Amino acid sequence: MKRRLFIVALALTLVMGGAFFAYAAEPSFSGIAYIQGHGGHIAVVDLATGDVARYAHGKPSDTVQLSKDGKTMYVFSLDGFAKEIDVASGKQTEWMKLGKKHCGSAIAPDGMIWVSDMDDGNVYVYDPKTHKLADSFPVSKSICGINFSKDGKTAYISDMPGGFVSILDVKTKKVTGQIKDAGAFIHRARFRPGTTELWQSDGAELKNGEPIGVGYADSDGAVPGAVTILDTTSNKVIDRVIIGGNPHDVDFSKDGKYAFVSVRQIPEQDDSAIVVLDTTTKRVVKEYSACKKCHAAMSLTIPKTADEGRPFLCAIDVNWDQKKIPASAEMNTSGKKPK
Amino acid sequence: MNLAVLAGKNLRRKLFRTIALLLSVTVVAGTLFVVTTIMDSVETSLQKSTKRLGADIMVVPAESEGVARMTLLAGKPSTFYMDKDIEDKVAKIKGVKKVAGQLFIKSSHYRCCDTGDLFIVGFEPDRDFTITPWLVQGLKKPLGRDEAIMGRAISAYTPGVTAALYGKLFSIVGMLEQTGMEFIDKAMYVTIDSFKDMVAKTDKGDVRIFDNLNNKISTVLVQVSEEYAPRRVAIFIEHDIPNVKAIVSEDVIAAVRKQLFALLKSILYIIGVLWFMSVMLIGVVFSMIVNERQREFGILRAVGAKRKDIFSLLIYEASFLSLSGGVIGVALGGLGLFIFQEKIKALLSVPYMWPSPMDFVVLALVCILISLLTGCIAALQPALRSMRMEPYAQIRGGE
Repeated sequence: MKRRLFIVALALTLVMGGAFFAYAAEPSFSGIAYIQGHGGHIAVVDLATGDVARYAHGKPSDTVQLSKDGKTMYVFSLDGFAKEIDVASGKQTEWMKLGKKHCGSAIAPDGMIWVSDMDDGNVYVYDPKTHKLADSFPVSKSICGINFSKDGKTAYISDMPGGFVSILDVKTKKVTGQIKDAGAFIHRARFRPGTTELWQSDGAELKNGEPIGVGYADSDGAVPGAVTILDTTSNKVIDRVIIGGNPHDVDFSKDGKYAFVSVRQIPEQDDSAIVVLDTTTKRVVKEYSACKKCHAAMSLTIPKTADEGRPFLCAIDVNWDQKKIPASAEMNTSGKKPK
Repeated sequence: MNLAVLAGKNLRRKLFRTIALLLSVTVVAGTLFVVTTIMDSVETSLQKSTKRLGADIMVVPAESEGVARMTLLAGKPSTFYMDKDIEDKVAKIKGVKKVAGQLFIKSSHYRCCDTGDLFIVGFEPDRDFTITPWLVQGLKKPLGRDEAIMGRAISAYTPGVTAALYGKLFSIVGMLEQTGMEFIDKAMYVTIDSFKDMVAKTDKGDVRIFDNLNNKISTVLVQVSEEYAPRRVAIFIEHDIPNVKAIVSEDVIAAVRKQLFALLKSILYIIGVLWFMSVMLIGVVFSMIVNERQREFGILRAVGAKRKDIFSLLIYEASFLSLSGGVIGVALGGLGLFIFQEKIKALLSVPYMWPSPMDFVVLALVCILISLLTGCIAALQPALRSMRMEPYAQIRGGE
């Protein structure tokens, strides 16, 4: 009898101890993540508390770009417009026509913002000083992610249905090469700090094996959503981390130890989330609800007409120097209706 | 008696039915011919006009974009102005090969001018690359301050005559080729310098419309270097020069093409429905004919006609009917296009030139061929059915 009791007690101790260590192993972060959504607003997630707020701007969009000083958000909509939002005051500029259907963006070495267009495959160059379109040039068919090499001489631009990354000479704006097999249906990507690794999100949104790009994967023989790691020295795929759902963007902690992947339709949950990966072990270590937490508090249901009634997020940009959700953002955790 | 003659006689025997079927094919063929001819003409005219304009980009004041597009497309006289130094600024933009400034005015209805509302374009002959290449005959000497060139559509003025504008007399020294672009065809061209003379004249007279026109231009026409796309250069211009709009010629054409072709395509869908209805109608009528004439076919077979002769007879009848309908339809459509050509041009408000004779012939032949196929397809099933029947059964069935 005593022996049995001892075994049960030992088992319980092991289970509880494991759970405790598992909990204790979950890393904590301090920063504010800005996540663009299809609902015409940007979700703002406090990575320390998991609180969610938002900036409503009115147009379904895929990309949001924080200025280098973190004071301005640049929004580029799915119908080809641009808008600037002052983070501190929440003040917004009028929408300005730029391209056709914007997907990704990045700040170029000269301070201009390159914005990709998935409709015509062009990059539209937005001048944040004059608030005007400064240039536009073709890259490939349907582009999304844009990234610049550390020396600023090369740009890497992801072609969504093509599943390849074009290598572009920034000076001449001509395509010089390609990294193939980056995924089934790829979106935005990001360089892991201090490395030449380009982490490419692969939403793998397929239907009957063909990319459909509406944010879900057909279960019949579908390729699971993942992040493909590309080495920009050899221009080859070096690893693939399966996450599930539809990963759409990646950002990193300052030291590059953690990757923050924005994922649409995470498995088993009708929500979009930030999935945190340990970049060494390539394991998921944490998850933040980016949509439902706020939507539930607001008792908000998405009309069936928009994205089949599901909350879709896209780009993520984390400001690690910011410790609190800005006062200008609308907090909805109390169940209060937004303005 | 051969089968063709027999088929002709059969058609004449039921005249009302023949005319009704013929009319249905005529309507389809005529409408198809008119719509495809207009589509072909608009497409060709838009392409030719863009080439003939010679400019890849038209820079205008930002607030005048709408009227500038109307001027470019429909030659609607309109006036808008910006500082002349914009011409030099545009010339310095990356990707710009050539620039040519133009100044627009309209003639007045007052006694100062021979003709009112005439679109007058002032240009710089030494920089120009859009007007002088279209002179019917090259000028013997550079265009003088008292001389003018006329667009082809202004038939009242020919070389040798003079025209008074704001008190100044201009000798017409040249005419441009027909371009199909009203902006070029319906304008009078003088040097920008001659505007100064008109200013001087009107300052003394009773019409003072030229105040503040010195150092102004209406538009800068731009030719782009081969290594740059016009759309890209237009972006550079709008980014670097405030308050201007760079209209890309290709985009104007593309927008018009999209708008107009959407309308014409919907008419084509209606024609498709009409065509289907015609096929069904002819098919039903020929099916009735086969039932009605079973005895006749049976007797023909009994006196030695082969199966294929019966088949051929019906196909001949359907072919005569649809071919005649097609020819009449195309002829009536062509006549309609000729009679209403001015109304069509006015309605479309875009550069419009008739297709070349070869294009006309090809379009007509295609429409007639489609008409011919209409009859053949429709009569195919009844003809096959009549061919397969036994003579005895046909004679008994027809009793």
